[in-house]
Amino acid sequence: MVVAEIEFNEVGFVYQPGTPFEVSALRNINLTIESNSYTAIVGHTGSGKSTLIQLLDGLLKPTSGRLLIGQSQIDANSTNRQLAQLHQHIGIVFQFPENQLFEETVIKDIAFGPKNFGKSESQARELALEAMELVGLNADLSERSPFELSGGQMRRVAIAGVLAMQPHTLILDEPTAGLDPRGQREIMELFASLQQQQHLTVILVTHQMEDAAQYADKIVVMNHGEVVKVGTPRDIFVDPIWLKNNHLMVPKTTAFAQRLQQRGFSFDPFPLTVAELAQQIKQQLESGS
Amino acid sequence: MFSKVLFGRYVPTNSRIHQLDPRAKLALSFYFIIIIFFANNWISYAFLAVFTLAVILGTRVKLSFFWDGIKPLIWIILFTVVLQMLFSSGGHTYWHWGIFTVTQFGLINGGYIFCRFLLIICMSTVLTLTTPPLLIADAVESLMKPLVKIKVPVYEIALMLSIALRFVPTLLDETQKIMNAQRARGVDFGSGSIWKRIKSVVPILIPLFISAFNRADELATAMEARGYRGGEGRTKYRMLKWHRQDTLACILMLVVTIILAGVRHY
Ligand SMILES: Nc1ncnc2c1ncn2[C@@H]1O[C@H](COP(=O)(O)OP(=O)(O)OP(=O)(O)O)[C@@H](O)[C@H]1O
Ligand SMILES: [Mg+2]
Repeated sequence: MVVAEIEFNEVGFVYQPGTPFEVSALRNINLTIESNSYTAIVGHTGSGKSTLIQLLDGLLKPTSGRLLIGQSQIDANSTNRQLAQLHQHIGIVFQFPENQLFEETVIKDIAFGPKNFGKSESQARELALEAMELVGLNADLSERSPFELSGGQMRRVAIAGVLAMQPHTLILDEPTAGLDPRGQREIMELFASLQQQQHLTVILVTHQMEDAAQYADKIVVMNHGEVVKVGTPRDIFVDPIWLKNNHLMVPKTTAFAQRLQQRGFSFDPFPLTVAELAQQIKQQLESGS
Repeated sequence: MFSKVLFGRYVPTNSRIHQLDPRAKLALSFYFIIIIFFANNWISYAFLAVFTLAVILGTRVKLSFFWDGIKPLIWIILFTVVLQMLFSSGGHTYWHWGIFTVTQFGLINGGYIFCRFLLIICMSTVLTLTTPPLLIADAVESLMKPLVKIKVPVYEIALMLSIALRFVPTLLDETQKIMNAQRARGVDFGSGSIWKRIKSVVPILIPLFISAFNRADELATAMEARGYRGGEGRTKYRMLKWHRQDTLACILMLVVTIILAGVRHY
């Protein structure tokens, strides 16, 4: 397995430079993402999260600075060829990925990626079936048209289509938007297990602070095209005033714990997930404070 | 590539021309395109070109940006003009090979056609550059209103036009997103044989059609849910108002016409 470390070096990106529509979407980004880590990128809408991940997959070229992704260096002068090479090892699940489905059958759609990267018909089929199992799709759906499936199933087909390419880094742009709560949890659990069992590097863009708090090792906070803070979930979520100033919500668990604190509970370390919170409340109630 | 083409895009620089009534701009652009065909010698073309340039400068859009925006279209015109020149007759023959002939009249005609197309493109780009699409649709509706009497479905045409104009940027956005998703799955749009390139369009077109149909469906539902039942008697949120500057613009165009009529006889 290739160990890829991602490094942003003074990266900047401008949309449509030299026109009246010019938008400076990213400025002076310095960031390191270790392999096999789980990084969450959070930030107000329009802060540049989607732009950042498109740079990672070579869909956009930085207008200044450079990126190191494994062995390859990407900067403003990189050729399309170099960019295309990134697609193979970095899988990206876009917002509402079911919009990318187009084949007649589920299995063909999932096998589309591997085939583009030079796998034979039968190898691609094999990979597609494996990916279907990973995302929890029943194998007898494989010959159905993807457009006859439910929204949640379509989402899984699209995710399987990305996993079938066997990327070592998985980028997720709000992968659970619009799913029911149970579907959301299942999908998030799937990504967490892929990171732990298959040693993928996962980068999650999300507006759900609960997901960031629960799954990520590291959280990157963006605001107005800049990285304003990088730290563990605990570093990020302890300071509600700072969060508010950066247009971020406090995870519900943290907010709940803060309310309890005003009523005489005391938490140390501060709980981030429901499990941690329940554990600490139980302890304090039992010790009878 | 598409991001460069300026035709059909609104650039809000809030110049004098932006502030004109859209009906005045629409009618005057049409009128100008018609009088272009009355130019018959180099002086008249030069005069119209100078006028067009002045109007472009008047939009307060950077000239280099404007030029970049129409350059892709110029290649298409050049192509047609060159084809035209290869099959011409009349006057002195410069070159002859098989079915191809290049003659004196052919060259001159080609030059005129090129100028005409260029002026038409520049003026219509100015129109879309300075007028938001929905206002253009309003202007069309307002100018066509007399036709209601002879049973032309003016409101329906205006509605179709404004929906189409409204969804052009949305569809372009959608195309970009789908292209990104398929590129991430290893589709290479820019290279390979013709057959491969044609095949690479399928993964874009199918999702695009599906989303366009879904959108149309949702839009229809939303309109019905809010009680839309045709244009008869509907009031407008944006009211078009005719100002003095619009009358002045019309007078200016009249002056241009008179001068053009003068230089035609040189
Ligand atoms: N194709 C584009 N052309 C011009 N500007 C763009 C384009 N895409 C994004 N932008 C601008 O770049 C900035 C960053 O956008 P981006 O999509 O990266 O934000 P985001 O953090 O992903 O937001 P969201 O949370 O809403 O998805 C925004 O100001 C946006 O308007
Ligand atoms: Mg985004």
